[in-house]
Amino acid sequence: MMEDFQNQVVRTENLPHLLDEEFEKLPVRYRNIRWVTWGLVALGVLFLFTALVLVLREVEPEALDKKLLFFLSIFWVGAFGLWGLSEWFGFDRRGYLMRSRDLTYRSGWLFHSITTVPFNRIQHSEVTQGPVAKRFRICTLKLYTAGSSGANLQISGLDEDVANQMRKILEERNEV
Amino acid sequence: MKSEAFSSPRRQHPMGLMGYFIKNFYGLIKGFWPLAAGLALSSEVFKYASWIGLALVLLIVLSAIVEYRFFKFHLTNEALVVQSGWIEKERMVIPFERIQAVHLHQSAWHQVLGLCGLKVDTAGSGGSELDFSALNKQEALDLRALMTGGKKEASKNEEFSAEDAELNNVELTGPEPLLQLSARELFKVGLTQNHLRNGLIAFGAIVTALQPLEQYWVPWVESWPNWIGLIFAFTWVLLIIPGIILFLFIAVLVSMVAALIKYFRLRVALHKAELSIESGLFRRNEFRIPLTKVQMLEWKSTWLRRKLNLETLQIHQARAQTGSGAQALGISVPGIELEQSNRIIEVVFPKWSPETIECFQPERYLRYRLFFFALLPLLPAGLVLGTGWMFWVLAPLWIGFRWVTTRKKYEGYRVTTDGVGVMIESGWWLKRRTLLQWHQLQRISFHQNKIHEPRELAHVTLHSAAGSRSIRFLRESDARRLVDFAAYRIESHEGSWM
Repeated sequence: MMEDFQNQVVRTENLPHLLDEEFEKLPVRYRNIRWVTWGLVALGVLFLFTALVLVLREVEPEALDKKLLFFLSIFWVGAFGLWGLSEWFGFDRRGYLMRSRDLTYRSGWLFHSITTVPFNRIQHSEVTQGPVAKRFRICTLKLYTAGSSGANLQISGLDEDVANQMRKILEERNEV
Repeated sequence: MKSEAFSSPRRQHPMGLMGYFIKNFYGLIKGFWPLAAGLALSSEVFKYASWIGLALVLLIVLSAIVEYRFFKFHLTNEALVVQSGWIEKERMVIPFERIQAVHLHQSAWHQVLGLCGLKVDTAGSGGSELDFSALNKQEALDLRALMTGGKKEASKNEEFSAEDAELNNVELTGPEPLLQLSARELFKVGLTQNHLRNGLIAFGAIVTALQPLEQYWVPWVESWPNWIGLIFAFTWVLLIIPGIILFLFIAVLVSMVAALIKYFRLRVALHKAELSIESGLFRRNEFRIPLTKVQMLEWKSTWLRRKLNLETLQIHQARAQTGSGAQALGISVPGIELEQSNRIIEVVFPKWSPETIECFQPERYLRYRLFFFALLPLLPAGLVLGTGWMFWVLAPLWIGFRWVTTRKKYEGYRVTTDGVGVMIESGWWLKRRTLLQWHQLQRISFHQNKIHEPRELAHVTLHSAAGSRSIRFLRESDARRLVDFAAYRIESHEGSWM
């Protein structure tokens, strides 16, 4: 028994470096869906603002001054400009990495985060797909760990086949 | 009592009716007292007060009868089964493996009648999933023993009996406790409560109570002779200091009474593989937490408490978080000294050794960031006071004061690890220490923004089943090392994390 005992030194420098690994990119069609969403929301808000201005011009013309138009324009340009920039620069930073014992997801441009979920902590997993995503064969993989009521890692925009394959691997490795 | 006693559906003790009545009555008062106070002022409603009161009491009695009559429970080999509801029937099956802890509580009326309330916490609930209003004390002990491990023994050996449960209970009071709050320590705990908050609550309660009774005390005050009003008009300034002293006296008194009611005869003991915590004057609570289910230990202390060598310990178990993403509920042990804390650590996280450590401290950037944000109140102060002489006297004082306090706060941030556990320390005036075990973590996050990136700074968040804790403003290389190490510790761990 005693001769089986081992107490090896663990040097953190020798551990696998998670953040140095090459992450897998998400499919380009997911980028297109995100751009279309951005465009539709931007147009919708522009339409709302225009309607608001037109109604005000009819109902209470004195309330419609240059300041209001200025603030609405600044808000629209600022909000959608920032969103657009984060889509433009941020998409390439989105990515996932599956190692033999964990799954990692990286996202964000101004504020970016990398979250790792070890397989042996996954309580259950889920693959979801809305009607638009189904049309483009895109999926969302959700992983749940203990201590939270929602999904703890959510990878949106995965290729349908890749998502199902990943889920299969998770099930085989962990029986989740 | 054998485990078969719980094998068929049964009701609680008949006095459970009283428990439901008290709970519903309290709920009604708590939920509707502002409305009731408002309506009481209306003379129209006031005329029918007795009828409204009677109708409400009848409603509460009726709902208590329904709740009691339609609540049945029994145990199978693997689960607690509860049926409840009259119109909408509900059947809940809670497997024993999902049960986190079973708590006993005894209000004054429970104690008089030799009964017990029982709460069951599960891994999937934000609060207590089940609350038994009243059980015979022996039954409650048996039930707890069967649900938290005794069942396994019972299924192996059907002779698991009440005597075993009784033995457990005797043992609880037998061995040397890890912590027992003496009268002197209880006094210290009362003395170091948040007096300002307690004083304001007491003040609010007095004002709220006096408002509906205006019709009685206002005429009485108005009947005072005029000279009293005159004296008051000229001397009210002199009453400010006695008023503050009176407020402080009442606040400290309220804190002491509250501490006495909540923490009377507080006792923490190790009971087999469970940590048992008992306390309370009128309502005696007994919490038992299986040691394997403790996920996090957290100590909080104010400057004053530290001067008295006291901290408040919170013991966190695995729990589901609420919708707002907040916190895991913990059990608090106030007035704990360093030596007692170490004894609890030895029991709960026996592998943690503070001697063999690596230490991380946040980068100096955090120190200047804290100072910058501490100076921001000067802007609105400058706008309100103007930039007259007062501003130029107060501003340097504020800058000097915050330079010192932010330095102390910065120095308070520290993370130490021995490879098994990680201790995260923060704060100065309000100090917090958190101890987690690497292998119990659920996931790890690395965060960085565009300001941190060129400065090579990053945050690491450790997510446990009892909540998340962040280590902020680390050197990026250290943050990366911590992520790699956490992943290694979780993934190389064999066996259960709970």
